[in-house]
Amino acid sequence: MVSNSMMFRAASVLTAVGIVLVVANWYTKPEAGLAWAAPLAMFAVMIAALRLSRRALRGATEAATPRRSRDWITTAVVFAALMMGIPLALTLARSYGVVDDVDFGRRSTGVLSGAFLVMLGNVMPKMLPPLSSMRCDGARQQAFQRLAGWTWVLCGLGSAIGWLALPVDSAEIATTVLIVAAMVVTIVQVLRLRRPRHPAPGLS
Amino acid sequence: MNKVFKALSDPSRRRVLQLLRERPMSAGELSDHFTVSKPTMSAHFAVLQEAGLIEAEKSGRTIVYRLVMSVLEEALLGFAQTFGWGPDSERTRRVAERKAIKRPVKGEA
Repeated sequence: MVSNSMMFRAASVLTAVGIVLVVANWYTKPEAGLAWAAPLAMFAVMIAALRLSRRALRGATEAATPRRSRDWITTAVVFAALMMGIPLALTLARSYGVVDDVDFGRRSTGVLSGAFLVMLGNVMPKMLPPLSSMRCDGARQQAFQRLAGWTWVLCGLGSAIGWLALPVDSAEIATTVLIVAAMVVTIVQVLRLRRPRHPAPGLS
Repeated sequence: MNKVFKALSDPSRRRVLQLLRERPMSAGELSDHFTVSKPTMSAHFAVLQEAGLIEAEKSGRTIVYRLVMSVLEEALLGFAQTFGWGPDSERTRRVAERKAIKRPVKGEA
């Protein structure tokens, strides 16, 4: 497992590299100014989120919840910076004539998105609220989060494999179908979770 | 990850995890399923908690344990059960037999 400080460093480096890539792209294609301003603003938001999460934890007690939240923010920034950085690097490489493959950027972004879904689904069963604060049966909540976790891990795996193995157009369709199916499963489970459980016959 | 493997290597701890898959349970409820002493069970709970596989919450005078396993950890547990590390598996039985043969009986040596 990657340590927290290494992850924070990776997030900082990736956002800095992302900003450099945006500026380089802007320099190469100044006519698309607004298109480059948007990722620049997003990188600025990522840096602000990293700094704020770091500052919020400083001086606070070393409880598990804030630490977990900070780790989540750091991991999300790493994935977001990668998902934006790779297409930016490829656009820059294409404008200099280094890369000809048009689909590589879409594929890499698709694989990364799949990996992010896997990671998100993997930790879903761990993010249980305290038993005392639960508004429904603890067993049902636990079962729901386990099922949701497995659903999103399988969806992410399928999506990543699809982007690696299928032609780009088919991969796009397959990924959309998988994500919609995972969403339907999750929504149905949420609705079932909200429905009150009927007592067994004979029990008051 | 080492802590997770260590926690999953013991059949009793795997049984605890299997029981907690159904619903959160108190320490007493869990102990009722085992013949070992309460301190031994407490040690098992501590190992599982240290590995981040279960979480304890105090509710009045009882401690309620619940499962907090990630999908990967659950897959590892399933793998351990399926491929011969289960409490009732042939392999576990053979290892236990081998240990019993090697261990000298008190008073006979």
